[in-house]
Amino acid sequence: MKIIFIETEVEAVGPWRKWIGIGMASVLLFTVGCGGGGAADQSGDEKEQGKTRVVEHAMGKTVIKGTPERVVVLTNDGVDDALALGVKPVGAVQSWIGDPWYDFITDEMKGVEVVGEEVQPNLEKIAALKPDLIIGSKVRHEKIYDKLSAIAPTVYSDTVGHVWKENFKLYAKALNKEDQAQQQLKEWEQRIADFKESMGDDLDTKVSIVRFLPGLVRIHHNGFPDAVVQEVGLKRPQSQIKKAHSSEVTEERIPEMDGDVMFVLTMEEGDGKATKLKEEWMNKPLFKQLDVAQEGNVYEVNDVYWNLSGGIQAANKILDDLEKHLLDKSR
Amino acid sequence: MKRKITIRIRPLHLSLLMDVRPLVWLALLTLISGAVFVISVGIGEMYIPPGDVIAALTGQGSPADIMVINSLRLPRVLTALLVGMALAVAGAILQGVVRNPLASPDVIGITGGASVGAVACLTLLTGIGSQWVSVAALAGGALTTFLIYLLAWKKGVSPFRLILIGIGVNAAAVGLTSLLLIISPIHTTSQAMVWLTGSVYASSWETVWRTAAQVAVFLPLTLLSSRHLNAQELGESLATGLGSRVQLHRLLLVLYSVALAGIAVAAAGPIGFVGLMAPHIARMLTGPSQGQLLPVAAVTGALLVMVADLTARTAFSPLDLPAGLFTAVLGAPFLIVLLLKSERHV
Amino acid sequence: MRSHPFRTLTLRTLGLVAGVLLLLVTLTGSIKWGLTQVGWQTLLNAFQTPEPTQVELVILNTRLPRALIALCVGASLAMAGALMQALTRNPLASPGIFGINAGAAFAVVAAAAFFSVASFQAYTWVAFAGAAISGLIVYGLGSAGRTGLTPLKLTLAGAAMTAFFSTLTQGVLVTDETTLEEVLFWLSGSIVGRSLQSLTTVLPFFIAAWALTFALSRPVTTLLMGENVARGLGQRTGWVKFLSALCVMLLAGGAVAVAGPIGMVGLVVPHIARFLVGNDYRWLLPYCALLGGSFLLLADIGARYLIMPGGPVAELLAGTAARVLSDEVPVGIITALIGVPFFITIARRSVSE
Repeated sequence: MKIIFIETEVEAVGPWRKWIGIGMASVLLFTVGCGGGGAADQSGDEKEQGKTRVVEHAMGKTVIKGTPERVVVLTNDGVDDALALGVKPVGAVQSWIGDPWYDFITDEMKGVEVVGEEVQPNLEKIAALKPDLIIGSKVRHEKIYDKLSAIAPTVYSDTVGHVWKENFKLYAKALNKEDQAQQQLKEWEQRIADFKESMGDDLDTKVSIVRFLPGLVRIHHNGFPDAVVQEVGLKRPQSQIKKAHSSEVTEERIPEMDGDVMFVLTMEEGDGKATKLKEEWMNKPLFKQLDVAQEGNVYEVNDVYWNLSGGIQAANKILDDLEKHLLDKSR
Repeated sequence: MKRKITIRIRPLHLSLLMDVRPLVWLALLTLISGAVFVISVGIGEMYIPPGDVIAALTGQGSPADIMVINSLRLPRVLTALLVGMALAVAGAILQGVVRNPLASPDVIGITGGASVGAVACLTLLTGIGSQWVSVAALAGGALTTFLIYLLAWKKGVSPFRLILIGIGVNAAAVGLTSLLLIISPIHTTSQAMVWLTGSVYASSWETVWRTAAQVAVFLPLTLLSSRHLNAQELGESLATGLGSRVQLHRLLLVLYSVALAGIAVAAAGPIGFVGLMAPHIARMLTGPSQGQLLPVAAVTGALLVMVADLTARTAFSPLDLPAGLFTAVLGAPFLIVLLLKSERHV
Repeated sequence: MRSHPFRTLTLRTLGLVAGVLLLLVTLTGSIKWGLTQVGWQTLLNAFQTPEPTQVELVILNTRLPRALIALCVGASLAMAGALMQALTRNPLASPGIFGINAGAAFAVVAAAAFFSVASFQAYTWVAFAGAAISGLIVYGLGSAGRTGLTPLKLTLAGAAMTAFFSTLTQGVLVTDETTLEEVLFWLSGSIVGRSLQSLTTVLPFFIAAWALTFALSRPVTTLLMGENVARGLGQRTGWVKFLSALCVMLLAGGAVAVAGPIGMVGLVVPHIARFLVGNDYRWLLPYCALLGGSFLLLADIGARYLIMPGGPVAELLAGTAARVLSDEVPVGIITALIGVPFFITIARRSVSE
């Protein structure tokens, strides 16, 4: 079973909570920064195994002992990040699409227990795995925090999606893998710098992001792919710069999809519905009239990387796509 | 002749003439409920034998058992039990007042109104505590009932009109709920959908204590008023002859029913058909007198919801389904049989 | 007998002409008004130009199909409601109240989830079957027992079946990988984004049902005088009832297949029509068709404006946690909210009588 509501919006919280969020994020950055410094002499040290750490997160503070070995991950981005950090969970919620995992993680996830799905994980399955760390997200699992905490130390990100980088750092801290995280983020920064340099003046290319789901069409504003596109320095069409996560659109808003390039995401669940819808829309006269379509700058990309997985591996794969489609052009 | 015993509670001027048969049934059902309770607490991803369950409940089991039982299963099973009782009694009162076997809080829009309140709270005010969701559900249910009552008033309230208006108001409530779902943030929509089918998934001890306290207030009140219900069931003219101030008591009883339904909806969402089924099963077992009906109905309701939730969380593991799904599956055939059999009441 | 505004033949004919005019006006409005601004000139050009502009494409490919769908669905639902009211002698009868919509909707959702039915033709048949089954159950339940068919029993049976089917539908949605939001929109009754093709699939059934319904108008009027009277006049009442039920199934099932369960149209419109021309189905049915089409067209225009981006409601909601992600609400919500006061008024009247 899969439900597609993997996106969240940070604006869904009131203004006061936003400030709390910002405060929390800065505390988080602070702790991550401090932890990063101390982590250098910590790695691989056998004596450190028994040491307790305090991780501050969306629901408060959690004490974690040493390096967790039996980790249960309740978010898709958490799975992506954990694997990137070399941690194989003992249990995880199934991927939004795929049976039960995304193709690109299937090999690594062999033998990992499915604990239900991200919107409603099975608490007893989790308990039966006897984990020593549970990673979840407040936006999904706020109501069951107490129960999870009774099972094992639990760490929550505030939300998922455009805050992927903060989440990566948080998960790394909980997993006691901050060194690796630092390293990967450094590589990420380097890739961005290289990309910006290669793009040169073309960096002001306006990127339109359109997503087809079974039965509905979205123009993206402020989700995971948008955060990546923004970070690498690319621009967006004026009509797509909005605070909301995305807009569900009727055909009348096809003109708002125009841009210098368009990336088309299709969330295909396996029944062909989304693909059919995509083909219908892309063959509509209104769509064909778009400048971006007439100039042949519409690229179809993998929804798993661009939206569903949502961790650092996925972010790198988006950058792969951007390099592939935009760098060739600017040369 | 059936054997009867008389229970007198002098300070309350209350005396109940009870058949022995209902008492036997009550005892039997309570026993079955107790067994289902223990089994329910024992079954899950980790099977805990009944002996160990009882040991854990008395605080002597292994720490792992105690953790699973205390933080995962017990709150859930207890919520199911309380919700079942509340819904069953709410349904029994309504059926008595409205003198129609099909009346139940879900058919006449009370749960629909409570849902609007709760969903509005979930979608428009994300980030506020869960206790407010239940307040909103109660308020929604009460407001809706008030509206139904008001609209059905025409020199008194005829039961038929009450039902019909209730159905209409329910349609509006469904519309409003859909509207709220559509304008809500995406992630709340899926949460609200699970809630709308009726689920005790995330019940906490807080839910249990709150619900228990509320039920503890309203259940005795209802039992005390149940003698008026007997009069109500005889029909309006006859009831007046018996000196029962019909309209007043009717209103009071409806209020209790709303409160109980609202409590249940607040705790677990609209778990359907329990308010319809439980009183009927009870009536089949005990006969028509309300004094005996209510306790038996309450236990039956508790049993129904516990079994439904047990099935919902174990049958399709690792998926954890809403209990309301299974009460509906049970409820529909029941309804058909009911409609075909009960011509006297309709 | 209450008196009706349109009593004479002339007045009734004039009313019919006015109805046609109303339908044309709402049809034009439905094509002109919406998110994309459309001028009158553009509107005319759209139908003539060989190379349409963006706006003209919106008119031809978006506005026109949905307007036509609204018209056909509205007319069908209203006629189905009128037939049901005659058939059951119940002023509250309509496809929504009687659980026929909910049954058809459940059939479609279940077929999509469990049997991977995907083609629209198949949906249509499934919807017909769902409508028929739930209709039969409700009718059977409502007429069971010594007292026979009473309005209250029928309505209750309908409400109970609606509750049952909607819980099942929700259950299927929770257990299956069906996309929640897509179905959510469809389940509330929506005509946005339907292609003209979905209408053309159902249109033959609609046309057949409309023709049959009009053909039945005289026998149904006779039937309304009482079963014995009708039999005395040589009518085979069983056939009339069966054919009427068939029409209801085709009309309601077809409407659900195209647009999801849109409630209250079948209740509200026949009552307005009855107020205008009385209970003569030879006049009532054409009035229902015209008014039903106009009613749904109007409701659909309302559905576009209620939460339109940048509109007043959207601005108001911007202050709360709600995020208006979609541009429109399903039209079924609008009809439900308009219809409930009608329902209540009728219920109050019919019980006291």
